[in-house]
Amino acid sequence: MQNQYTPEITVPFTLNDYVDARIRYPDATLVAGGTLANVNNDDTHIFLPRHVIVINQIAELKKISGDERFLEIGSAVTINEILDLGKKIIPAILFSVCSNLGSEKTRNMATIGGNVAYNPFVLDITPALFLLNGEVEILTVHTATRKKSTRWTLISHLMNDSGLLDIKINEIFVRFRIPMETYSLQFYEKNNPLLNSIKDVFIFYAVAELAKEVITNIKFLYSDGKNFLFHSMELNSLFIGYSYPFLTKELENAGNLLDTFFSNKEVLASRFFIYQAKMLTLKFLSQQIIISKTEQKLIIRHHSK
Amino acid sequence: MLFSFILNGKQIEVNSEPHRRLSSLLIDVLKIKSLQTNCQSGYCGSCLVLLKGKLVSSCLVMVAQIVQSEIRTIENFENSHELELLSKAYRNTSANICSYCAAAKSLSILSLFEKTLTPSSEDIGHITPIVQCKCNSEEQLKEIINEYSKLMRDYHAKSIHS
Repeated sequence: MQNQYTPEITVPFTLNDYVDARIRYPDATLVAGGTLANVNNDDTHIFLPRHVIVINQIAELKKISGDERFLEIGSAVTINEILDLGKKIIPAILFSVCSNLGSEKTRNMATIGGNVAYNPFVLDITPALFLLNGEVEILTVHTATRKKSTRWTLISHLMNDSGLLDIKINEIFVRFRIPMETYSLQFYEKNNPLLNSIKDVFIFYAVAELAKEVITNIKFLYSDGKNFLFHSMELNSLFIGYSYPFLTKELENAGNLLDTFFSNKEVLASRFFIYQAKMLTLKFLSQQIIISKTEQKLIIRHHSK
Repeated sequence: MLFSFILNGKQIEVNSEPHRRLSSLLIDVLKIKSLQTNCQSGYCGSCLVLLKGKLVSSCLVMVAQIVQSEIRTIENFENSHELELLSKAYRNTSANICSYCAAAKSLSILSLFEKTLTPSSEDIGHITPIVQCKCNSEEQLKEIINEYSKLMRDYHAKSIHS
């Protein structure tokens, strides 16, 4: 159904223009690529809130920069623009996530900021940035005083228990900062075994640091791609100190540890979720995932040191 | 509101609501014949256009998002050697592209070759599933792309020699 009103849409080209627009319309909804926001509509028009600010033309949000320590990606950079940087620059897990997002035509429009800021669901990029210890620069517009301020914060500090990011309406993501010193092992897999795009999606993320083939740091993260995200320092710590990859006997132990761990979590997650979590965690620990993939270099990235 | 942008090389100024779909503006107002609308959710690919050189579903783009941008449809390639060679590639292969998806598939192939004359299998793999139409399999589409690649290389080799 067409809007009963014509929405006021502002298209700023600089961050200062954006600040002016936000002061004028404190309740405005932000649209970047629009691949999610622009779907539910009639044949000719896109149903939008009364006030909208289109942010995908703001020059400051489209910048990519970096040095040997960090990669900085503007929030309005599209997924394909990130992929164009290449496997050598993008951390393997982020590259893998971006490669699997939608089709070419969607990746040309969808932005990293839109994926992270989309509030109804936890989409695929947020957990990857969380695992990579990513940070985000947030610009806040104080509409009452007509002033702006910026701050950097870790993605993990913005996440609530469901994995959604707590951002206020007067805040905007400017750019993401991702450490280049990343993990030796990185993995991402999205499973939809029932081929149902809405129900029973399972996403597995894992990163690990090795020293002489011994796990010194490991993080797992499990998501249903909607509003359930699970990660636990207690679970991660169970596997520190083991040699990687796990041998058959160690895998049995790991399976038992996972069974015990998840037996207490059945209230939190479905059986499907727990089964997928256990299966993929064991595959990762046994390196089966890695050796079964053609993109081996993408998944295993050893430090050059 | 008055919007200005470049459509197939021509500067256009058009009155439109800012939240109108680009597909609707191009089809209903600017009478672009090659585009169709179907799913209205960016899935089917029948409304593909090149926005600043990138393939996008025009049904997911609102007019306010295209300010000062360049948009191209398959009409932009009319009478070009690229489209002529692509037609030849269709004829040389066993594939029969249907009229429903021909424009969108052709545009996606032409956009691929704007980036490189020698696309990798990964590049081709990104292009083949873009348009959802069962008249051809992905394998047949790959066959067309490989044939087109050969014809384009021959064409460029001849151009250099002449």
